[in-house]
Amino acid sequence: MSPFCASRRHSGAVLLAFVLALSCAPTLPAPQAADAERPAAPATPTEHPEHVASYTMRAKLDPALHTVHGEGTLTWKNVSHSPVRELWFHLYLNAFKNQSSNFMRAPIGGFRGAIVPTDWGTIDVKKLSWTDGATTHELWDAVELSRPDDPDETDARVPLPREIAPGETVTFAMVWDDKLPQVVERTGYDGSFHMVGQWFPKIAKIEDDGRFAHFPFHHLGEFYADFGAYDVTLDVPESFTLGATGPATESKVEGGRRVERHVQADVHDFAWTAWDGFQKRTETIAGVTVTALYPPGYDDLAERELATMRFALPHYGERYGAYPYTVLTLVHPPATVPEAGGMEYPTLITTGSPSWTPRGLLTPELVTIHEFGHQYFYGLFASDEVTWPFLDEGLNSYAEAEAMAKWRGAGSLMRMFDIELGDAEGHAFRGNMFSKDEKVAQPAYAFTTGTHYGALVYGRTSTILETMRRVHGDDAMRRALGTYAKRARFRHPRPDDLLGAIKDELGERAAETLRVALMEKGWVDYAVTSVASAPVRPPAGLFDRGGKRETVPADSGAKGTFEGWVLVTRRGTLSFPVEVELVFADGSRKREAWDGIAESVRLPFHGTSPLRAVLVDPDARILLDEDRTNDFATAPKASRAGAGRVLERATYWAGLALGAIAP
Amino acid sequence: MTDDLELRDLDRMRARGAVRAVLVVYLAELAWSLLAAWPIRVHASRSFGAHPDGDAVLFAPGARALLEWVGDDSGGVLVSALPVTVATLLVGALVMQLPLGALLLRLTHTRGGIPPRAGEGAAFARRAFMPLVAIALSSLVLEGAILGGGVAAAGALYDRLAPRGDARAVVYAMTAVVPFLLLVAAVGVTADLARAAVVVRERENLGNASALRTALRALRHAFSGMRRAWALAIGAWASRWAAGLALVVCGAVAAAYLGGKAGAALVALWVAHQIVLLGRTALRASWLARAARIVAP
Repeated sequence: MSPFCASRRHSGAVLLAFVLALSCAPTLPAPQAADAERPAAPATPTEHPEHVASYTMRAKLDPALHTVHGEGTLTWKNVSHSPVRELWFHLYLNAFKNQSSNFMRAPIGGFRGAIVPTDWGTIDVKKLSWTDGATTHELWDAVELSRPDDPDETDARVPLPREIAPGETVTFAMVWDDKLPQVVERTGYDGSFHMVGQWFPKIAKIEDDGRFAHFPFHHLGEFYADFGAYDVTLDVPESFTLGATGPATESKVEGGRRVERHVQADVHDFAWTAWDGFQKRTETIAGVTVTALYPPGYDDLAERELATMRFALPHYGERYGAYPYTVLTLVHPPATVPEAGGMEYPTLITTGSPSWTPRGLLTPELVTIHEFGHQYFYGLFASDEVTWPFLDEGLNSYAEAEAMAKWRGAGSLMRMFDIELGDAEGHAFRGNMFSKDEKVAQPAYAFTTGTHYGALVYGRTSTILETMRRVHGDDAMRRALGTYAKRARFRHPRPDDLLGAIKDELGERAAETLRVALMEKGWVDYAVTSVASAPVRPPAGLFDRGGKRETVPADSGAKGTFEGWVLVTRRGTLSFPVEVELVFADGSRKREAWDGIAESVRLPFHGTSPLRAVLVDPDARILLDEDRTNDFATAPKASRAGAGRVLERATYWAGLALGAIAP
Repeated sequence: MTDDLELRDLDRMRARGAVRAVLVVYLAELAWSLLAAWPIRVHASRSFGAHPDGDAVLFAPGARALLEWVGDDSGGVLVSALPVTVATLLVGALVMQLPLGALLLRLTHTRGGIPPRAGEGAAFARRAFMPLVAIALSSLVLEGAILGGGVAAAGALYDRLAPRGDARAVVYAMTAVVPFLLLVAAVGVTADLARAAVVVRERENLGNASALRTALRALRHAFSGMRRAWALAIGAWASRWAAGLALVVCGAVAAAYLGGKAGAALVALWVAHQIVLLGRTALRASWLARAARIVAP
């Protein structure tokens, strides 16, 4: 999901949010325990995942009432090592049922989705049955929709009449009715536009130990599910254009209705959209049929988004492995529902940005590439987005910044007004602001505010990895994340898998640095502490030479050479190799390498020119550096470079402003 | 008041005949701009002056330093220096009425073919200051209100049209602002006519009536001028406004080529930008001379 698509709101109730987050904790999985029990992901890539949860569904949209009637089957395999005595289903739409839901209760501001819906949404399961031999069990009759201490109805427990053994496959029949909300976050309707995500009863992911990774739908949390095959028939009014996960294998119009069947294997979710206002463009890019659905008047933006995919599909394929599906649908929601934009589903992403976005502002490209990146960091890897959001949003933000820089250069976020603003630099600015507040590697529901979640999960993770890329080199980082991508594909990776790949490719120190940065609020600040530069003179004082005592004055005998030293300090818990640049009065420059491990280093120099200034990290590799304004110093008595450019520009702008307001 | 200054012949009211006065206005604005820019320079120098490349780091590709310098909400330039700069500019908007008054006198009056002396210009500027301030404040408030109305109308229109999910809603909303912008321009032109009227119509009465009364009488002359020659006034203002805009574009192009550099490039950019400002001042003087011809008796 992209944080760019919607307005951000701030909440002052940080303490209350924290308390409520803690109160929710018992209903959520315990990541450490699960991690400890889980074997490491295998090194060999997997071409196809095991299908654990496969759905065959039929959905009929009533665009006037904004309802979806659904029915179908779920074929589920117990792939754990333990028998299962109950099932857990996510009923995500109930997050928008009332203000008692976990989603609506969370006093989390500072991120998208903090809107009270003007029209509520629900999912009402009418039937969940299991025909076991000659007996049909109506499972939903015994459903536990909520807990005694929590009225949330997004996390339903269904007791089973008998155990499902490890390896056993069973099929359930389901009937349900959705009432879509006015778009709050990701899903819902606006007028005749319908974005239908998280719309069916979705079985929770089963872990190896037989526990279900179930959780209430939290404002900041996303999803986690098992792979399967989806065969979904969608039924909408004839005038509507459909976009959905997977290719349309059948399409017909009858009785004023458009009926399309979409089939896609090796995915873990299915989303669709229907609107009678969509414009459509289709193009084959790198063997993938890419369809852009967009509002009237957005032709320019659709072209920009398709151009993004012309770069992104081969780039991500080369970095993180081939995109394995035959289709990709880009959905640009209407301007009135930015909350529906910037979201990812398997083979379908929603983009965003106003139609008038200037070409120098690259948010359409950025959102598109970010959401496409989620086809890997969420789609193909399927990590637990609730427990480890940095594994999808964080790594994906790094991949987005890396790709945007490769494609558009230094101005990868904005190239306007004589300014080249980089996406990675934007992440660093945001991420470094909150580095000491909370750790990055924590569950989504544990963040105290949406601002912290956005800054740390997206910005900080990206900045950590971009710093490692700049320090270790592009090739090394490409190898490391390529290895992670190979191991993670279809394997639900955990943090240890990422650390393992980094250790294998970049070494122990890099892996430990990454661990501390992610899990211990690691930070670093290099600073030039002091600088000394003086002419070389013989030592002053009293000297006994040849039987005589001589007095050598302090200012005698300068030889036209200079010497001195620079003291550089490393603050914080992280360390990176860093260069120190010495700038001399004659204009020459010299770089010294420092491994950055010790807390400080004193670098002596000796030359024919006095030292004018010193600069740590001259190539700005350490994006994590907390304070760039102490990375340099001018030697005592040397002239400062000053701020002439700023004076010039500020005077000019002040002159223009004065001319405008003082006629 | 009575002196031996007389209105120039209408066809002699030209900016080209008042080069020195135009330069004085430009220099006054430059001085005040420097004053306004100084807190920003101090902040930049404190933050990056000790960098080997100075504030060039703010213009570096990627703009990380710029982001932190601007965006740091605890000590960034936006919170530390910009408020002082804005306040200085607002005060400057009033102070600049003094050189404007002197310029207006120089554009419109003569003594037997000889321009008024500098001291006479300064004395007139002092007397005309309050009426000019009254005109400036009233026009700024009115222009702000009209702009606010335009933004509100555009927002309302967008809210009505946007549910259709059509990008044209944006175009319609932006189009809706245009009449308001034209109205703002008309107010500005009328205010300029009133400024000119202060010197060509009310000079003799300055000091005999209150500033507000003088300003109101000048405004009446301005409305009268607009009724008589609105097309001429709008056309004369618009042509110079367009030329001024072209100059700003040239300044932006210069910044794109020379921005962020030191030494000769920085000097060249300074000169280019100051030529833009001087050109705009000259264009403004040219327009005020035209405005004086419209409201002259």
